[in-house]
Amino acid sequence: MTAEKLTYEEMEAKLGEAQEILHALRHHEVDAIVGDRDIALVRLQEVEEALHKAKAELEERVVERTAELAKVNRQLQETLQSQKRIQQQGERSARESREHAELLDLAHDMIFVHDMDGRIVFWNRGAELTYGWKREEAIGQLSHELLKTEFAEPLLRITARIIKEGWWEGELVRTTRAGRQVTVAARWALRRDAEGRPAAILEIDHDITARKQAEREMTEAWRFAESIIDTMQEALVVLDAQLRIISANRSFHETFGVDPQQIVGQSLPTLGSGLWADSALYHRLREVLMAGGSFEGFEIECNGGEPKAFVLSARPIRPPAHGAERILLVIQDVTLCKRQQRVIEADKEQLGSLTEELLMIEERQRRQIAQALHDSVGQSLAFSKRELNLLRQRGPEEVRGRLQEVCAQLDDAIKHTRDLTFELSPSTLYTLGLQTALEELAEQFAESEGFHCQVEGPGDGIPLSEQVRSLLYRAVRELLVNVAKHAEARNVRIILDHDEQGFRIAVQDDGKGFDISILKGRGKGRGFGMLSVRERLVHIGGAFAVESEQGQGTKVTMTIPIDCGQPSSWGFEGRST
Amino acid sequence: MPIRILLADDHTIVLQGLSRFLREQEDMEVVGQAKDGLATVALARELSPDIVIMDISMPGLSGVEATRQIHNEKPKIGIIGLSMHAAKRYVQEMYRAGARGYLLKDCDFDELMAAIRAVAAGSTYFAGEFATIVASETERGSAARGG
Amino acid sequence: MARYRLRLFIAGDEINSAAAKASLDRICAEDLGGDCRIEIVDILRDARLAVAEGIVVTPALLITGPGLRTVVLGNLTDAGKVRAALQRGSEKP
Repeated sequence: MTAEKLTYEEMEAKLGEAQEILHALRHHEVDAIVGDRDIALVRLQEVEEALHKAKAELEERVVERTAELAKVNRQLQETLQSQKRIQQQGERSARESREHAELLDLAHDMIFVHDMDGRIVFWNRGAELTYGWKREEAIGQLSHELLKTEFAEPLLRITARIIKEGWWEGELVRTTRAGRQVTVAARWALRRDAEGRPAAILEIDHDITARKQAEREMTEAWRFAESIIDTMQEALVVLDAQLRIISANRSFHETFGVDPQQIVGQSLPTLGSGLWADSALYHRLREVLMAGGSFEGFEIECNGGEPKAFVLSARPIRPPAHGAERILLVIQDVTLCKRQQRVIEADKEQLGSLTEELLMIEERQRRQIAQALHDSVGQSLAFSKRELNLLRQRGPEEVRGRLQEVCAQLDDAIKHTRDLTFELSPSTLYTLGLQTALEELAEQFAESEGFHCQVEGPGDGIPLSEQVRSLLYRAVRELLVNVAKHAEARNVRIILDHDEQGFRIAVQDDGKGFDISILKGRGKGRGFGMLSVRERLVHIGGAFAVESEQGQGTKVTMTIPIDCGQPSSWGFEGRST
Repeated sequence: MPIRILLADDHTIVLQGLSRFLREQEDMEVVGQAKDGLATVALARELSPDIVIMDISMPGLSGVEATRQIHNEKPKIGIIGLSMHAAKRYVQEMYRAGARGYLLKDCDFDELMAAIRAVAAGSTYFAGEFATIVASETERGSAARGG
Repeated sequence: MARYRLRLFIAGDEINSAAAKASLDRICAEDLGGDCRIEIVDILRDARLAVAEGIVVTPALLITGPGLRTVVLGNLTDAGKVRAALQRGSEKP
């Protein structure tokens, strides 16, 4: 009696322990499971955390790099724009000065005569119009006082020259009646009287104020343009018809480390010890010369010394009807851009590898824990239940009721252990193969989600490595979760298929479909699960294709090339079944 | 003559519990115990037991494969799957491999004995929840034979 | 308190094991005034004792004494659970 009662208590304690074990496992408080033969270390939580952390860090880095790249690209765009503006400005001021010159051609010249004392004796219509005084007001006035003439050289010297040579030419600045300063190109001629003595000076003035102004503006515009050209990041170089350098900006000198004085006249192909002797480039440049066209976005990479990458654009300067006399060549240094791109690619690749590795470790751990759970906890629970049932039948009446309760609880614990084991790692995947495991999964989804779910395939004759098997299983699971969450489908087909090239799984539903352009974004939500499946597949050399339209259902096809589907050193060790 | 039984399970606790109980039965005799698939096949060949109680998850050769080999060599040996696995795929696989019974490990001893006696008498015994699986398998089999 | 034997089964320096060790030390100092002796059993060095005592997972605190056997699982950060177990122990004759 005492012995049997003790056994019952032992049983009760055993059940309590089993429930405690399940609790501790679910809360990640377990470090190791002691099996019959070995000890399984449990580090699932650590792996999950490391995975999330590493993933977040690397994603952040990729985002940063992408932003840097965007910035560099934007800068390049801006400088390209400013370069275009400068060219337009240059063309405009040239046109304006031509128009001004025409204006000057039409203007009336000012003509007047003053005697040797400087008193005005003649005053024409042009002088009236320009200087502002009527003829009757001007006559008799001292011309240089009236007009406040500013001389470029002393008047005495001018007078000496005109008496000696009979004429003088030069620029003068005068002030009109309205107070406006006028610059004139003046021509003086000496008139002599009958005895040959100097009698008067005839002066013809041409108003060049506008021209002067235009010249000043032009100079300023050029200075402005030059300062921009010199501060530009792109190297600019102007070539003649023989591809010799006519001029270049500071960036060009710096980029190629050449002396601004020595560069002029050199042929472009000889620069940098012939690094620029690219036949495709010269073909394009000759086309510009011959036909007057232009090109943009010609990429060239120089690998001598420090590797550099450039993007070249060329356009003709002063395009005549046949070909150009000169070429403006714009050289953008995109080395940094390229390098950033490569770093991003490398980061992405690294992220993929790390993610894959961590997911593999997680999968392996899940499987070990599931196996240990099945081997030790499950077996002893089943054993306890069977023994306890026996005890119940043989034991005295008064303990039967309580034993019955304990058995019911044990049943519960066994079911939980089974669910947890399946959740962690479905054993059918490794013992009976992918198709069987997918069939099991499909049944489960059909039961819980209420859609019809069917697996079609050739049976399990395809040798797939355990890594690929678990990846595809998780991928299909992810897709089914997606279908259940969003698609409102009634029928789902999982189609397995293989040939010499590779292995394919398609998951096809008749649900409401979706706009696949959301897969291009990086957002969370519906596309996120698909994106991570795609990344994993692409990483191991597979492919992932989505066909969907609103209202037309969705078909996702995953392809694995045969050489990476074979069992390999990636496979886990362990029991074959 | 008692029913001669071979036990195959890689868990000592299961082997001990089963053999202790079976020894109490007058009409049964445990003639051998094996802890992996290969040993099970070898012992079945050597001892020609009436019944093999077969676990599925075993090191080396799986219970399904061991069942297939034993059934092919000696179809008279009755094989009963006794596993933790409740997934119907395992039941199907065991049935296709030649097993004539399938029980979950947490079943009652009564049920186990009933299964042993039924299979030893040339019948089949599949626990209640698996009966439909076997029925559809039988249908599949006869359809295949008929077609 | 010394009538009870406290044995803590751990797996090396794994996170939960280390946490369990620290928690138990604290409970000893705070609740028992340091009046206790803890045996630490590392299953990675020798799992035989764990198997013999039926310890399936670690960390696990095994409290034994006359007519008493209690196991507390997990990292023992829930001090209440440990206290309750110790309390249960002291109620017994």
